[in-house]
Amino acid sequence: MPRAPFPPFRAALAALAGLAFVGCSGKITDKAAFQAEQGAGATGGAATSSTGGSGTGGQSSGMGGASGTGSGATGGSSSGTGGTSSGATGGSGPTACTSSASPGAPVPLRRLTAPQVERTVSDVLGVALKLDVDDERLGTYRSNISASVDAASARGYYDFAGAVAKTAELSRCESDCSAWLLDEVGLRLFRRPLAEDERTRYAALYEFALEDGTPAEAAQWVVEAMLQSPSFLYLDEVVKADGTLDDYAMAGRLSLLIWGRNPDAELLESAKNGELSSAAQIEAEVTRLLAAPESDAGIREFVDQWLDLARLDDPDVRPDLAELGAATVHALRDEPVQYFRRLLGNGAGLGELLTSSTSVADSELAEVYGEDLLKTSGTTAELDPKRRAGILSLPGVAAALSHAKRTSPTLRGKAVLTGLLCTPPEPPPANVNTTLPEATTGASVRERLEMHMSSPSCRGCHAPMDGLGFALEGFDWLGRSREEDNGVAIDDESTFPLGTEEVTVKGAVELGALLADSPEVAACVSRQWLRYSLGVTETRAADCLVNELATEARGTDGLEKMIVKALGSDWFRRGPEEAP
Amino acid sequence: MTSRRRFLTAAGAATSALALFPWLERRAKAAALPPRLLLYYTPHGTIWDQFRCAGGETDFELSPILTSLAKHRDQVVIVDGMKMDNGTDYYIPHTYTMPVLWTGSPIDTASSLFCRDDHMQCFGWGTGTSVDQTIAERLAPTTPYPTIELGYQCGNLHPAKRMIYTSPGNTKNPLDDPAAAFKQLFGGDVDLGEAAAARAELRQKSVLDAALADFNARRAKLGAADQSRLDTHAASIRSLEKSLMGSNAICEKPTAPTDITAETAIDRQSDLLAGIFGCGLTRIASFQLRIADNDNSLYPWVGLDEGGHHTLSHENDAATFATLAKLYTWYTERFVYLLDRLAATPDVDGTSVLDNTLVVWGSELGTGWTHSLDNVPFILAGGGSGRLRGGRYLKVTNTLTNRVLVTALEAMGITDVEKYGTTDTGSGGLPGVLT
Repeated sequence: MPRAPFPPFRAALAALAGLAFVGCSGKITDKAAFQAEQGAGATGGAATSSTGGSGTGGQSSGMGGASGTGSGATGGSSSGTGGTSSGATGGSGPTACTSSASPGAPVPLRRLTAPQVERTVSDVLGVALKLDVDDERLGTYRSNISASVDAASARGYYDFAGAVAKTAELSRCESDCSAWLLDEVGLRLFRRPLAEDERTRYAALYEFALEDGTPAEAAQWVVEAMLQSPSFLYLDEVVKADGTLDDYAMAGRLSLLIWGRNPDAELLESAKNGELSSAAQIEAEVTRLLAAPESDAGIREFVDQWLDLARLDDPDVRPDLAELGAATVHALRDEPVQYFRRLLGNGAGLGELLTSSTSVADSELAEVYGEDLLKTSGTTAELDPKRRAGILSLPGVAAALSHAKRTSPTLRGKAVLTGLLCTPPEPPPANVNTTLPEATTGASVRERLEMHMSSPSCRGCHAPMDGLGFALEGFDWLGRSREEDNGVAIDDESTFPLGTEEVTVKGAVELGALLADSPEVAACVSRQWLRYSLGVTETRAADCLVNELATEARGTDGLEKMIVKALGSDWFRRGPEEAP
Repeated sequence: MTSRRRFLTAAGAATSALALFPWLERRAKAAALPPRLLLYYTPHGTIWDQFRCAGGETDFELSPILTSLAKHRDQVVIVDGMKMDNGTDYYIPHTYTMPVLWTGSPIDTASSLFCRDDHMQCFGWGTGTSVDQTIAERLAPTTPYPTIELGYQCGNLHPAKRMIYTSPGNTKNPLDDPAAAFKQLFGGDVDLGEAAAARAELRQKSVLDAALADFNARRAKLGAADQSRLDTHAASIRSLEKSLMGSNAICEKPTAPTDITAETAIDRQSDLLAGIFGCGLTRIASFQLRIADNDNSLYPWVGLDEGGHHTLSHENDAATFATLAKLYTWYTERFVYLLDRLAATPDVDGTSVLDNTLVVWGSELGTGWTHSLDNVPFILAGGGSGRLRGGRYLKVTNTLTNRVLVTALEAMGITDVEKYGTTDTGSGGLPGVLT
C-alpha cells in the first residue's frame, strides 16, 4: 500500500518537541507571553541546576508550570480544567540543563491518600475498613498537596479511627500493652520512632483511660488518637544537614510509593541503621521493594491512573459495563497493571511495554479476547501479535478509553498525547457543542468524527487526537476485536498532522511499534513516573534527569532501571528547600 | 407518609414552638436572639428580560422568573444594576469571578496551579476571604460549627467550583450530598446509657486533645503555607469536637433525607439548612448549587434535556432563552422552598428562623450569553432580625457587588467596615436596605 513509512512519524514525534501553540481555532498563537509567565520560576531552577547548586530559585514556582524557552527542550502545554500545568517534552535535542544534579523536587506537605491509610491500618492493626475521605487529583495522579482537611474530612478520619479502634486486633492488651503501642504500633504508624513528647502524651492518654477502664480500652484510645495524628496522616519530611531526606523519611516515601502503604519492620530497621543514605543503598532497597508482591499496590496506583482505568468502575461514564459482571470488569481493569508488572519483573524495556503480545492469564477475559487469545500456559497468555501488541491494545485500556456502547477515538488519542507524548491537547473552547452529530444511517464513529472535523475550529485539536485514535478503531468499547462498526468496515489506517509533520499509521500494532521506538515517548513515560513518585509536576530542573531516565528506559531492564534511577536521584532524595 | 413529610408536618403544625421543641426553652434563656446569614448561589446569572420587574420600588410587579416569590414579597429586596469587578486584566468567564462573588477580591493570576490553554492563562485560587468566614472570625461564635457549607454537585477542587474562602487560597468544600451532609451534621453517636455516654464523651475529648497536641508539635517545623493547611485541619477537629459534644445536648435531629434525586436534592439540602439553623449548629451558612465553570447539567423536568445549562447559555435564539427562563424560574422556586422551610422552622422567641436570617442570593456573572458582569442579579431575603426593609425592587447604577458584602457584615452586627475585598472602592452597604 503506497503510504509514508515510519520515518515521517518519527520526525513528527521529534518535532512535537518544538510544537507551536495551536489553538482550537486552528490558528497558531503567540506562546511567548504565556511561557514567560509560566516558566519564570522554573527557568531559574534550570539555571541553578546546571551548576549543581541548591536551586532555591527554581522552586519558587511551586508545583506550577514546567515550561521553558530553552532551545530544543520545550515548553509546557498544560491540561485543562482541574489540571495542573504539565511539563514539557524532554526531546532528544540539547536541553538547557547540563547536569542531572537537581535541586530536589518542590514537594509540599503531603497527606496520605485514603488507600494508603487503609492498607497501613490493615497491616498494623489487622482491620480492613474503608476510609471515607476524598483524595485530591489535581493532575494525573492522586496527591494531597493542596487542600486542607475540612470538617467533613475530619469527621471521616474520626469515624474511621473509632471504627478501627473498636475492631483492631488488640489481643495482647489483655494485660498492659503500652510498650507495644508506643514502640511498635507508633513506629509503624508514624514511620519513625515516637518523639519524646509524643511518648509522654500517648503514655499519659493510656494511663488516663486505664483509671476507669481495661488495658484493651486504653489501647483503643491510643490507637484512635494516633490514627488522627498529623504524624500518621502527613509525611514527615526531615532533612539532613546535606540537604537529603533522613533515612526514615526516605523509607516512608519509598514504601508509600511502591507498596502503597507504610514501611514494614524490615525497611524501618534499615532506616534505623542508616542504610538509606546513599543512592546505591536506596536503589538496592527499591529493587527489593519492587520484587515483593506488595508492589502490586504502588504499580497499580501508577498504571491505573496513568491510563485512567478508573473509568471502568464509574457508572456515570460507563453505565453499559454493569452487565459484564463485576468479575470481568475487575479483570479488564487489572490486566494492564499485571501486564506492566510482568514486564517489569522480566527485565523488559519500554519498547516491550508498547509491543509485547504476552500478557497474564485471566480466564475472565477469555470471552473478551475471543480468537485473539492464542493460548495460555501457566500464568501467561499469548495474544495474537497481528492484533494485540503493547499495553494500548489491551482490552481494559481500549474499554476504559471509550464511551458507553461506542468507542471514542478522541479519548484514546488524547490518552496517547497526554500519557505517552506529554503534549496534552487543549480542552474544547468554552462555547462549543461537544456532542457528536447524530448518526445518519450506517455511519461509523469514525465517519461521524470526520464529519465533525470538517469544521476548522475543531480540526486544529481533533486532527492529531482523533487521528491517533482511529488507529485503535479495531477494538470496540469493551476492548473486543471487531471488523466493522455500525455496518461500516473498520478502517484503522489514519493520516493526521503530528507536530509539523503529516503522519500515516495503520492499526494498533503499527502504532505501538512506532511509539516503542520513540525517545519522546521514553521521556514522557519517565516524566509520568516522576510525577507519580512525587505527587507534583516536575519543573524544568528535572529535564536532564528525564533524559537520563529515558535512555535507561529504552535499554535492557529498562522499566526497572527507569524506576530505580528516578528514586535514587537527587531529585527524589533531596528535601524541599523551603525551610521554615 | 414519607419521613420527609412527617418532618414537614411536625414543623408546620406546631402551634407553639416551645411545646414542640422543649430544648428551645433552654436556649432562649441562654442567649439573646442571634442574627443569621445564608449565602445562596446559582450558576450563570439570569435572563434579564424575564427577570426584570416592571413598576416602581414598592409597587413593582413580579417578573415571570420571580413570580413564586410572591408569598415572601414583604421579606424580599430584588437588586437590579449591580456590577462585579473581576479585578484582573484578563477575564476567563465564570472561572475568574467565582472567587470574586463572596470575597470581593480577584483570582490569583500570578499562580500557575491551574492552566487554561484555550485562554493561554494560568491562575490559582482566589486572593480574598469570603464574607461569611470574615464574619465568623470576627464574631467567634460559640455554635458547634463557626460556619456550615452545603451545596449540590460542586465537583472537584477547582477555583470555578468553590466559593467559600477561609483565607486567600484556602477554600472550604461544601457538603454537596444530602445523605452525607445529614450524617456529618446530625449523625452523632447512637443513644447510650448515661454512664456510657459520659465515658464516650470523655474518650472523644481525650483522644482528640491528644491528636491536637501533635498538631502543635508538628506545625513548628513547617513553612507558612503548610502551617496554614495544618492549622485548618486542627480547626476542623476542634469544630468536630464541639459538634460531637453539642449535638446530643441541644438538638432535636431532623429526619434523614430520603428519595434524593437530581430534581429533589436541592430541596433536601434546604431541609437540612432549616434544621441546621433551627438546631443552632451554626449562625452562618452557605449553599452552592452546582458550579461556575461550567454547569452543563441537564434539567429535563423544565425541558432542558439536551445541550446542558452552560452550552445553552451561549446561544441567543428565542427558544433557548425560553428554556433557560424556565430553568431560572425553577431556581427561584427552589429558593422559595428554602424560604418556606426557614419560615416554618420556629426560632427561640416564637418567631421563625427566616425572620432572624438574611439570605443573600447571587451568581458569578449577570448574563451567560454575553458573560457580562454589568448586571449581576442579587436577591436579599428574610427578616434580617427585623432589619431588612423588604418588599422592594431596588434599581441601582454604578454600584459594585461588594456593597452587598458590606450589607451582610452590617446585618450581622459588624458596622465598622466600609469596604470589603481588594476590588472595592468603598462606600458601605447598599443604601436603604437595612434599617
